[in-house]
Amino acid sequence: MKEMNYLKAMDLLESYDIPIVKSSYMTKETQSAQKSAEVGFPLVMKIDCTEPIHKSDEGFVKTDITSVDELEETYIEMKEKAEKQEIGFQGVVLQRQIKGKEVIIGGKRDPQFGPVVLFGQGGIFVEVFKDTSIRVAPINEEEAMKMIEEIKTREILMGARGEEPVNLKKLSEIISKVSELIQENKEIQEMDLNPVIVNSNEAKAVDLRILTRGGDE
Amino acid sequence: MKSKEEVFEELSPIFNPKAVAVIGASREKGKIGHSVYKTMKKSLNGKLYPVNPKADEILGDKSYNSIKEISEEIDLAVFTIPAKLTPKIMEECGEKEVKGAVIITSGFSEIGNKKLEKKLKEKAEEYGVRIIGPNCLGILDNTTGLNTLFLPPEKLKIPKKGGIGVISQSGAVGSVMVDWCSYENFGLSRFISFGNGIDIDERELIKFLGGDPETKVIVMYLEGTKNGRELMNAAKEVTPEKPVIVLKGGKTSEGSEAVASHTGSLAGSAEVYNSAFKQSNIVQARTMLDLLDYAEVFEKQPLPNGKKVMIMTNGGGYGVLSADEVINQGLELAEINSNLKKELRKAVPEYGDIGNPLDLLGDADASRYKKALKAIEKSKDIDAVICVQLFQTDPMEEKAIESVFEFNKNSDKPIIVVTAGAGKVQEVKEKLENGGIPVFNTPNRAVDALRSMVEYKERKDF
Repeated sequence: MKEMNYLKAMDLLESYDIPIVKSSYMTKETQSAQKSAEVGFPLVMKIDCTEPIHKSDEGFVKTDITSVDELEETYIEMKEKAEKQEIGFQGVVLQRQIKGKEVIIGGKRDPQFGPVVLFGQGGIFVEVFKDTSIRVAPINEEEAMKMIEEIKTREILMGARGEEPVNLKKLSEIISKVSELIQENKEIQEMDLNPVIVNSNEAKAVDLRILTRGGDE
Repeated sequence: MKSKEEVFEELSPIFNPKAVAVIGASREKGKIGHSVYKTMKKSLNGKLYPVNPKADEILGDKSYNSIKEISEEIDLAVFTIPAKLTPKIMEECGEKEVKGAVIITSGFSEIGNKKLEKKLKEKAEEYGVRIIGPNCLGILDNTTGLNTLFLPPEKLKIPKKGGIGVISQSGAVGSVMVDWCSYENFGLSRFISFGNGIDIDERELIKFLGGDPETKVIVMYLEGTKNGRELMNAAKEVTPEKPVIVLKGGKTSEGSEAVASHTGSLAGSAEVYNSAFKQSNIVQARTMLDLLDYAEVFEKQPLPNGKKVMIMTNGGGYGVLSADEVINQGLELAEINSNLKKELRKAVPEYGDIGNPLDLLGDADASRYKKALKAIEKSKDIDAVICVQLFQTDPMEEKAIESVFEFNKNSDKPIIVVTAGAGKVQEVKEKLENGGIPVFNTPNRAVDALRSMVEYKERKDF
């Protein structure tokens, strides 16, 4: 299997109207005003480097950046730190920071059943408790809503302890669209939208990864 | 794609043959060819011919050298010959224009002999002979009398005729299911063990039993499918009318393919099967016990209209345990409105409370059950009834089951009895079951079986 180019993967998602968090790419501190205007504050900065590292664990993801000055400063700091560690700094990705709950939406081709779609609670819940639900694709939004209702920790999304419930309708739309995407694009073997951030207003994919059959591209 | 009615029509000559040849019928006791022929001779409603070039006569019947020597038309050939001979014999069957073959013989792909299996399949396809097997028990058809099982009837008791249709990929699990049906006195319509399933397999058999007017519930043991989508489509055609209950084996051995993403590792084979079953409204059983419990309630009782359960009991503790199960399994305790409360008051003495669970108290007799069941017969707030009847107390009479039968006759709600004990209780249990009431020894089993019906109904209406 091989990974689909990031921009191509973004285009594919956009062609299915799957919302992705706004992002831009910057390679010079002087671009701070222009690049931040493309995504808006507050924003998150993530390193783009050639060496495989765990970005957040090693301090190469900065959140809550709220001004052009702060962005410029953070950029310089991150670049210097990266160069000191010789990890092949190339630039940074800026993403609009949205607050909300993290979930995972994904798809794969099963050897017996073909394309399937998966929904799960994000972060630790998916890793430790494997709190997910699955359907053979494609499915409509009603069935996608059932998938959301099926996970054990659904109450976290539905507003536990006085919190506002997240926008389940938007989530079910994405699940249904991913199920169509995996069904129709036969070269895709596996894909993750991880995380998708959802709050009471919106749901948006923050990171994506699409794996295709090796040699197909 | 053929509809379930068309599949039923097409496969009917195999299940209801006018003439059958047993190829490899044997005189020697202990041989499979002997057991099969002996059983068939007793049970078959049709002509039976033994084929064995080494014998003149088998159990008093003239033996033929080849199926081609038989002058009459043959619908079904049953193979009990060594694996390596099967392609050649299949050719003869083809020339004889046999419609179907049950190939009991093993020694094919299950031991890595894929080439021979392919050859056999090609020969059958060339002549249009339909196959059940190889490496299987074949068919036990309680509606037509066909029985190709090599397990003698004195060892494996044939269940009475009824509405449960059984499909099994495994002969061992299948034969246990059949014998278990006898033990529990469940009624069986048809049983098919399809083994390697090189032609007819679970996809077609679901449709066959789906189109079969004698089968009310389909019960299946499955380890894997060749085409998941087709399995789902077959089930989707059947489950709006008939429940399909599946026990899936081999859940831990699958899903070893390489994966590179989160989704890849989370959506393993077992998880995908679970989802596919849900989507086609197949009821999934986790154990053999579940499988037969579910079969029993689906065969005997109407579907509940919702998940509001009424519990009544003459033993407080069994009522409490039942209520716990109702809540834990995602069902609800029915609320009792003031009108119903008034009615139920007549069933319970003044020193008892009216609630759900309804405690008819330790000194309850048959008349309390009668009044209580009568009161809830037509209640719109109740979808199903768990009726605990403990016969260990002195005032409790066997007569109490009469009011359960009465309820079953007058109400469209399912009712399940929970009772436990030895001796006399076993007799009562049998009477209830013969009268169409499912009986379980624990609240857990009763409520779990009820939950399977509620979920099936919800999916069906979705």
